[in-house]
Amino acid sequence: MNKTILIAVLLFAGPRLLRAESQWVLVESTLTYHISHPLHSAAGVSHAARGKGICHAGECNFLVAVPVKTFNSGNSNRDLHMLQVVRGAEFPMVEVSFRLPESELTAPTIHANLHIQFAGQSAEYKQVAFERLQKGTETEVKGTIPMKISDFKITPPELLFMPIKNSVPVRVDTFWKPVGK
Amino acid sequence: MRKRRRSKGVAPVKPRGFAWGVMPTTRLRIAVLGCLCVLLASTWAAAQGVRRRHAAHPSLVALAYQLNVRKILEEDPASAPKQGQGASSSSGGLSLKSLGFSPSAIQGNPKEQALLNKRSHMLQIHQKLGLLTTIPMVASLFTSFGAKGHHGLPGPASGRNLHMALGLVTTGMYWTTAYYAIRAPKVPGTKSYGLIRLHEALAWVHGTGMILTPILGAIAYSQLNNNERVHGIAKYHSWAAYTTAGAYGLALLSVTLKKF
Repeated sequence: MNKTILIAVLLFAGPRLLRAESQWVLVESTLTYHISHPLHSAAGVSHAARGKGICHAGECNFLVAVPVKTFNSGNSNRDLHMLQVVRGAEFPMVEVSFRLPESELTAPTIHANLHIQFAGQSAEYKQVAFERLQKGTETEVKGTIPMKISDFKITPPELLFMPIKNSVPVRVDTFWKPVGK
Repeated sequence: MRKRRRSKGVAPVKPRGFAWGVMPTTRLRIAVLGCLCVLLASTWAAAQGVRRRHAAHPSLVALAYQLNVRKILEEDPASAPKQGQGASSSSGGLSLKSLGFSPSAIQGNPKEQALLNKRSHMLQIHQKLGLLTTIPMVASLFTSFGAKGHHGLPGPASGRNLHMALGLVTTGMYWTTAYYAIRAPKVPGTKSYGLIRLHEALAWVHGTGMILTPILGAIAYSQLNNNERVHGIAKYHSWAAYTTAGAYGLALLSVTLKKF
C-alpha cells in the first residue's frame, strides 16, 4: 500500500520537482544615461523598464527592456533629437538580456555578460559588475553599463559642430522581487 | 507766375524719402552684395537638403532590413538574426510580450522615424545658420557707431552704407534661419519642456525685433541721407537692435551652455 502511494506521489510530483523554477520580477528601476559634450553634459532618466528572470536547473535567464522614448533629459528638443539619432521610432525598445548561475544571485557582486539590442544593433558587454543589496523582500541591483554609441553604429549628435563623446555610461538601479517559487 | 517762381529758386531741392530712383551706384552695389550673401546662405541651406535626400535614408535602411529579415524567416526560420523590435526577441523563454509590453509599443514606425529625421535635419540647419547669423549681427552692432556722426548728425555715407549692408545680410540670414525652425515638422503628442521653452519664448522677442529693426533702420538711413538728424520713430532703431541682439544671444546661450 505504502509503496503504491510512494510511486503515485513520485509519478505526479516528480516531473514538477524536476521542473522546479523560480522567477524574478523587476519592481522598480531607474536607468540614467550620461552624455558629455565640450559645452554640455546631460542625463536622461527612465523609470519605465520592465524585467523578468527565470531560473531553471541552476541557471537564470534575465530580460530587461525599456522603451527608448521614456528617457527624459529635461529638454524636449534634446529628447526628440536623441530619439531620432538612435532611431527610436523604428527600434522603440532597448533590450538587455543576460544569463547567470543561480548561485551567483546571492553574491554581493554580480558579474554579468550583457547582450544589448539597441538602435537595430546588438552588442555584448562582458563581465559588467553590479552591486547586490538585500532590502527586505526586495533585492537591489545597481551598476553602470559602459555603453559606447559606436557599438550601436550611432552617429554622434553634434552641437556647434562638435560631437558628443563616444562613451555614454548608463547607470542602472533596479529592485527585484522573487515570485512564484 | 511760374517763371518768377523758378527764377527765385536758388538751391536745388533735395529729394526727400528713400528715393530709390536716384540711388547712387555705391549704395546699389552694397544692396546687391547684401542680397548675394543672403542668396548664398539660402543656397547653402538648400544644398544641405539635397545632399541629405541623396544619402541613404535611415528609415529606408530599416525597411529594407525588416523586409530582409522577413525573407530570411520565410526561407529558414532558424537562421534569422535575433532582433527584438516587435519581433520575437526571447531569452530563455522570455520575450517583450512576456514583460507586458503591448504590440504597438514594441512595433517600429518608419513613418515616425522619417518625420523625426526631417525634423532633426531642419533643426540642424537652423542651428548652423543661426550660429553663422551672429557674425553679420555682431558686425552690424560694431559698425552702428560709424553709421551716424556725432550728436545725432549725419556722418560719412560709407559708414552708413556698410552698416546698412550688414543689416541686410543679418536680416536675410535671420529669416532663413527662422524658416528652418518654423517649418520643421512637429512630432504629434509631444510637449515642450525644459530650456527649449525659453529658447522658443525668446524667438518672439527677437522675431519682433527683426521686423522692427530693419524698418526703423531704413527710416533712419533715409533721414541721414537727407542730411537730417534721426528723429521720430527712427530714434528707436538702436534700441530695437540692441534688444533683438540681446534676446538672440540669450536664445543661443540657452541651447549651448552647460549651466543653462
